[in-house]
Amino acid sequence: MNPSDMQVIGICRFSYPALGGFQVEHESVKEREEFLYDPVRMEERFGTFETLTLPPLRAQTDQGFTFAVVIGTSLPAPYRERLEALLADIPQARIIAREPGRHRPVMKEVVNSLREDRKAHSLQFRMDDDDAVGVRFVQRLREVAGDVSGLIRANRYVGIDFNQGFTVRVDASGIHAKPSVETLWTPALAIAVSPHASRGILNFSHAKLSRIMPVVSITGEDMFIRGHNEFNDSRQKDGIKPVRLARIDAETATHLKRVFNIDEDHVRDVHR
Amino acid sequence: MRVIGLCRFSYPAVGGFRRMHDTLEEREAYLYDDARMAVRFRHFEALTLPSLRAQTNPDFTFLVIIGERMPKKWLDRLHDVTTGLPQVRITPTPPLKHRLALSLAIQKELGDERPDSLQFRLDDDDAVAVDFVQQALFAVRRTGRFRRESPRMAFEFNNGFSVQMTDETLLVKPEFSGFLSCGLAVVFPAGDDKTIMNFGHHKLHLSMPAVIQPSLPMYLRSKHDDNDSGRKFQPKGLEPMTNTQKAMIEDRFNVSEAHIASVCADLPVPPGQG
Repeated sequence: MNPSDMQVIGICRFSYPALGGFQVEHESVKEREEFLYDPVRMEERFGTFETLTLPPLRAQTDQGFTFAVVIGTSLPAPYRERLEALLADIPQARIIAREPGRHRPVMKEVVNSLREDRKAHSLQFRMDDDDAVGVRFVQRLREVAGDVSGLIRANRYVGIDFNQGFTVRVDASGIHAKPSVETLWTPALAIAVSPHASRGILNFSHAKLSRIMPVVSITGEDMFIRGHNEFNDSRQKDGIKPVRLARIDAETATHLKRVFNIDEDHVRDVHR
Repeated sequence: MRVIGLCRFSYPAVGGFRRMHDTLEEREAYLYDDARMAVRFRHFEALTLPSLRAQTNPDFTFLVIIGERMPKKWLDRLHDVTTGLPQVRITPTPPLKHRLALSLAIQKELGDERPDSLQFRLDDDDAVAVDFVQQALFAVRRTGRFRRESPRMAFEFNNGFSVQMTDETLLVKPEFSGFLSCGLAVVFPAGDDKTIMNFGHHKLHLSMPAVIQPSLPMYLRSKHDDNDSGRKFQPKGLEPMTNTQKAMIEDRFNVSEAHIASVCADLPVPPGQG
């Protein structure tokens, strides 16, 4: 199995109003849309998407991937236009608008609509709109898939988990971050999916992936940025303490620029 | 590639136990207490040894690290119950720190030429599935290209059972666990001066790549009163085996109720001390 034959598909939900699948529940689609499209919240989501998520995708050392941004058909026009403008110079990006629906079937349909008819496994990854992957992510994903090709051939699904990176918060003062090692966090986690399998990256609960399929865990290289902010879905429940993150020093800023193409000046400009 | 299993069998290490003793004599008295030894042997004979005896790939070495002053009746029994298992090397070791003692035993077994090796630990009351060695070597081969860059690599089979042995059967609870000491094997390249004892098993994934495989039940982990880690993990939710589980556990671990009953009948334990 030649890794260069594997299709790499990334998927990112950008304020898509799913029914269920959120950790904050709302009574109706309307209520959910009001929460999602709140101007303050949207500013914050665009801020992280523009300064954290997109720069490393632009700078991928292996440009052979597809990046699907899933939005609701109800996303207000000004936001849709802003999103299109941000993605204009990323030829791999596809905006996919869907009616509100249940999270898993909708995402399964979206991923499968992007799958080309290839004999090799596809490599699927997901991220939130405040996450990022390293600029070598796609390249390394293919390399690892090649290194464990025997395992991939023998299984419908194999998880590939880069477990090292940074937890990050951005604001007008710059980047706050701490190094993190976390097994089976969503960013920089991919699944090699057999062409004969119907489920995809968003059909599995990431934290329990290793109960369902073999997982290859890779350490020692910084590969993910996990964003933390006020509207972070997993932090909306009561009683979760805020993560303490310190302003980065010059050395870390240089490192983040080199490894993620994330630029602190850009962060400040956008958040001003 | 050498395959080396490592088992600490009532070895009086310096430190490293959760129950502290002031002197070596006190520790030995605790370890070699007849009731305690009977419990250890029950598990070793009914769980650990059958699972090793039935390995589908017999090409491995199993080091059993013991103290130099194990009472003769127990030492004789240890030799008796491991005859017919050419993989077992009973290794009397002077009192040293736990990790050092076990590390030295592996290094000595590997010898000066120190070939590449697959190392695993097994507690003296746990069992591995009969295809553990074979499956671990499969996984090693399937990830061979990986090790050109990362020569050390961990392989974990996270699917297994917590078990509690009674006089005639097992209570069981299926579980998935992360980075335990059973169901786990680590590859070291030729010439490596580190061993599996140089890495805390819960932190292996911080220092080397790992492959976790959940598909087959691969370990039995005992929970009982005389369990070094039992203080932290009190058994909960263990239940009598279903008929399907009985057949599966006999098939995958070579562990049977009939054998448990005969081992326990041969090793009486005073009530309340099992």
